[in-house]
Amino acid sequence: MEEKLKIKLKVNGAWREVETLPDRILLDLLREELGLTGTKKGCEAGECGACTVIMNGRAVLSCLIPALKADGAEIMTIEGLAEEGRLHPLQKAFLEKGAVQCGYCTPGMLLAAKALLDENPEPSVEDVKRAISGNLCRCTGYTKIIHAVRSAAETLRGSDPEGARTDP
Amino acid sequence: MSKESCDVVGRSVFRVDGLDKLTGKACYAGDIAFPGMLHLKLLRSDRPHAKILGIRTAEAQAYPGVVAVFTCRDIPGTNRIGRERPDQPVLCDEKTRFIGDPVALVAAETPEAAGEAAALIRVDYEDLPGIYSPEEALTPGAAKIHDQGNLMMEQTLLRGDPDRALKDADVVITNTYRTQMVEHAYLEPEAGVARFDEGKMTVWMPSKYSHFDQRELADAIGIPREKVRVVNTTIGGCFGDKTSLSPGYYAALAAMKTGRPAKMVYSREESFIATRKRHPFIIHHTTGASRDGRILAAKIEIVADTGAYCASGPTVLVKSMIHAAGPYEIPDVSMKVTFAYTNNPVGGSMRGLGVPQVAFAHESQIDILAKQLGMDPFAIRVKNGFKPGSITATGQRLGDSVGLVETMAAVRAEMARIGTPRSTASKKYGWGVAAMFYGIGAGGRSNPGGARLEVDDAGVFTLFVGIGDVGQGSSTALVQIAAEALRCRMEKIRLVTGDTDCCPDSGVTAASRVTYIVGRSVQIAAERLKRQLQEAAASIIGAAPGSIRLDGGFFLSPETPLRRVSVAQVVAEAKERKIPLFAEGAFDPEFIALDPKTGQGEPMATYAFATQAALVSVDVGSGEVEALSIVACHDVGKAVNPDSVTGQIEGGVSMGLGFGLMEEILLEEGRIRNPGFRQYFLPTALDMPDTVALIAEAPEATGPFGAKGVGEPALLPTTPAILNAIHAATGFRVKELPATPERLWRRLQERDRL
Amino acid sequence: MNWKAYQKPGSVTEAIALLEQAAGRGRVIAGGTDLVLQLRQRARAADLLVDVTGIDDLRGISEKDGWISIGAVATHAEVAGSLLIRREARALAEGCGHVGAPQIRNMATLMGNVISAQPAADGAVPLAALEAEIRVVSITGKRWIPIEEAYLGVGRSAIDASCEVATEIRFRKPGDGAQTRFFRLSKRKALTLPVLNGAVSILPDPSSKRISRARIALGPVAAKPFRARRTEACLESGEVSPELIEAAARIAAEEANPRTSLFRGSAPYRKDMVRLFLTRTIREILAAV
Repeated sequence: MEEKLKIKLKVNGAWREVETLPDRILLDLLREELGLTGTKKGCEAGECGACTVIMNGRAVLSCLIPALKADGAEIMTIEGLAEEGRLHPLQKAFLEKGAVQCGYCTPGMLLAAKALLDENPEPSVEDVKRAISGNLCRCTGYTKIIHAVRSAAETLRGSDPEGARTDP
Repeated sequence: MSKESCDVVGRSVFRVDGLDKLTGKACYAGDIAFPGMLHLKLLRSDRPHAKILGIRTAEAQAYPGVVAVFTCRDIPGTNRIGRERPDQPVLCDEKTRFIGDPVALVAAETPEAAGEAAALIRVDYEDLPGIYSPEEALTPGAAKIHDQGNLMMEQTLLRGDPDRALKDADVVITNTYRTQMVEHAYLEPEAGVARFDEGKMTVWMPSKYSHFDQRELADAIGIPREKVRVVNTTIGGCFGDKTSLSPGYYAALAAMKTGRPAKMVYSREESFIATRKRHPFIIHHTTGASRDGRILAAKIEIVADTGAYCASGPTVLVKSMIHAAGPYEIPDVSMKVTFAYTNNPVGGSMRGLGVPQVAFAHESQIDILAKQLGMDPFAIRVKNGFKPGSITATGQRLGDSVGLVETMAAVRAEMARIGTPRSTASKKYGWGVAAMFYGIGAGGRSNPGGARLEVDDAGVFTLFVGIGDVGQGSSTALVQIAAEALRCRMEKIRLVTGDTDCCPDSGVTAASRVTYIVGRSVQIAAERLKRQLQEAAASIIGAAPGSIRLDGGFFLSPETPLRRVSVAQVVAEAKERKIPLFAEGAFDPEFIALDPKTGQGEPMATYAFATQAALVSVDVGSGEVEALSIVACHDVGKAVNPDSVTGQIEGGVSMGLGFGLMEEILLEEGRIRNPGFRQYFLPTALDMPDTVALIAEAPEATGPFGAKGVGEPALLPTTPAILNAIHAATGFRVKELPATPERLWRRLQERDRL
Repeated sequence: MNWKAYQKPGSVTEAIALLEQAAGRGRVIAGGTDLVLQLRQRARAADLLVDVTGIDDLRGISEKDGWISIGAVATHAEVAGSLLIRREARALAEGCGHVGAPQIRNMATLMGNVISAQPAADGAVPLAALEAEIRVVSITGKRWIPIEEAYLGVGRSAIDASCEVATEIRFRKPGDGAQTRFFRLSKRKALTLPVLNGAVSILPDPSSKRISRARIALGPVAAKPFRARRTEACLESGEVSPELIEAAARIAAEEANPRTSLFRGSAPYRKDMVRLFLTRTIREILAAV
């Protein structure tokens, strides 16, 4: 009978204490023990980026991280991107620019983009491509995604006076 | 079709499912969990071709956490699936025909236990000779993969007398083109969850055709059809697959047998190994033309590897035949298309249904022709290209909705604006052009759409359609069409998709048919319901029913401008007068089936057209090709949602780029050597060119507000445009896909040696 | 279970003690991007994982007395972004910047790249050209292992992560006037193992037209990052000229001797790519010095 261990991690701003097996993977812990199914499983081998979360400020692949490595860490998942129901400028931009199709790559893509903007508020097209180069998308060809990330960057810099449009 | 300007159709409204996808709330089948749920794992054959002598499951059954192990003996139903021909087992009985063929199913308390136990199942195989190419398969005396032989299907087309025409031609070019097996590679691996409650089986799964899966699953597993409900979950990409045999079927089997909910999610490796692929084609293409660039004749022979089972091979065969000569008026054409079984992975529907393969051939041919005749690549295509009223290779006269020439002009203008960098000793630059046409719908058979629209007491409409959004934006487009037809706001329309209990059968999400066929069905349903409500409103307002408009939530008429009624009031009135508060719409495009010998007929009611151009750089030392710019112009009839259309084009371009340059399933004696993203390369963001997606509109009279379709057309011209660009840059013609650096390098070495 | 216990010690001494207790069934984990996969795929087995990323002594990138030192838990992202490395050992920054994808680079350590002992390692190949050394601590003491001796075979490191902790990588600064470059050929621009990679370090002789010191490492052409010694000797043998570079590049293709591989390509192609990329890289460096 395998013994469970307790770990504590700060997920989307709230400390969570979780009991889990020692060989648990962070992706599974987030999706099952914590019920945060927004982080997606695409390959479980670190080759597609769908499982991207932000851990201690860096974009990482949760499918390759032992849950115990995340003990004490600060993690943002897609569920934590919007604050109190208000969409993050990245989410707004993705919606406005039509950058979401099937949506499966979207959570990982948004977090990779957020990690970029946290470090580089004025990314070039090349910078954006590089930042999301670890996130595969089969639907969009990345074009509108890149456009949306740059648009969100403008909004965050305050140089987009319109902000987000409202729905028609 | 309304000639009034549209309020909602034609606008890039936000995706109706966008918010959920952006916040992590969208529910994919893999996200579903029920208390007491079993986890499933399949044991799959590791033999390409073998008889099954026995399956020993005792050790697996004894593994801690295992609840049951199932084999074919446990399936009360037919144990056979297949949209065209049910020749594929859910769990193998007598033999396995490809590596990955499912042999046994383990149900356990945890996924780990299921996986460990599956590895303990012992299968006694008697190996049979493995067949790995169509040539081998069709050799007399070859081992039979299926009892009826290894020829899956063959069809011919004949129009005029191409042999005579070729004799009269000034130029005849013959080439052989080869395309590779590729993988859909949607980001969401297949998944399904099932519950069996009080005799009713509910299966949650991403499906491109819930009603078909419901019927097939019920029959194959052995549950009465009316006791099976399929509920479509959010679909994380489909590109032609995510239908027919899938985890949901196995979940249903396990739920039926154990009474507990059951769930299965394929691993990525399993998704590569087990699911259907794009058929590899060998295309022998002969084109004859006059000196002034008029194409006189074409003779085309296609041999395709259809893999171990039939799947949708016949659809791919017919579609590729219809399109193999390209969007050009050619009076004398013959074709023979042969699909053979092998012990390779199963060929199925993948975006384009055989047309990406033939487009590579026909656009290479016309490019070679242009070079040989010293003609501009646009000029030769305009000269021969389809226009309204042109006759196709199947003898069909096209209608008015033929925007091919417009797409060429748009692309040409954009190319000129972008320009061409100057080549250096090691880096060569060049533009390539390609055009295409693509028939919307199944091809030569009935494929009706269906929609149902209801309105409730609060004045809220609910639209029921059988198909779910696979990511292309169909849900949004259908709501836009309904809103436009009803003249109401989109927020007033709820959408229910893919639930076989309450949604009508709308046919399959395939062949780019959803906007055209299902959209038209939605439009019909909406117009019917609107007329019914107008009738009810008329009796309140006292104006003629036909004059009544629904505007801003109110019914009113210019005849009686001071009187208006809310939808809720009209609904109440309709109830009083027993006017139905729902309407249905079904649209089945007209067709004339293809003659079995000559292939003549009118298989599709409308066609989409497009031109794309690609600017590439080629490193002539290493053979590396980089796509720098792609310009694409697609005639979609009417863009219901322009951002969705350009989004599809941009995505199609990435798939076409992958097909042309980097994607390839590497097979060795039936075994996939690269079943994963590590060695199967989808383009990343860094691999993508600047893409300019343009929309042309040659309205289709029978389509909703003139719309046709774009889903598959999106990728068809990309591959040949890139390959033609490689030729423009280097003088090398690559006739085998993908055009990897080594393949190009070899052509360079050969040329240097000459 | 893929592993049974997971510990995160605060010091190297503690780490070694934990490994000793595990009696060969423990293993050091840093970034984990290779190891976690291997354990899940049962390519490797371990009962205890000893996570060293919390040990302060193993952090940091610094220089002292002409040596550059990189801590064992420095990630590829940190190395690629380090101004010191970009200035003094550009090939290493470039190589690290090409590993996998941003997320992988944020997690995976350069030391892990060495210990996973793969011939195509984008981090380890430049280290070979830089003639780096690895400091390893075990219960018996400390030692420095030259990088070339760190490989026993494909996937087998001379560093035994079940009883030793690698603490530091160091190499001598290539020197004033020296230039290093990294090159890579792969089938796609991210998330892809290289078909060919290499690092070249050239120190020109300021008083003549000769090269004082050439160091060239290539991968994946052998079981470990391959030092093209005959090529180096050729480049050091005479006055620099197009003919010399050509000759050196041909020798490289010869001595590297890549074989036909399903994923990487045919032997003739790979050989020609060694020749091509080395020629270009050497020319690029010579134009910059």
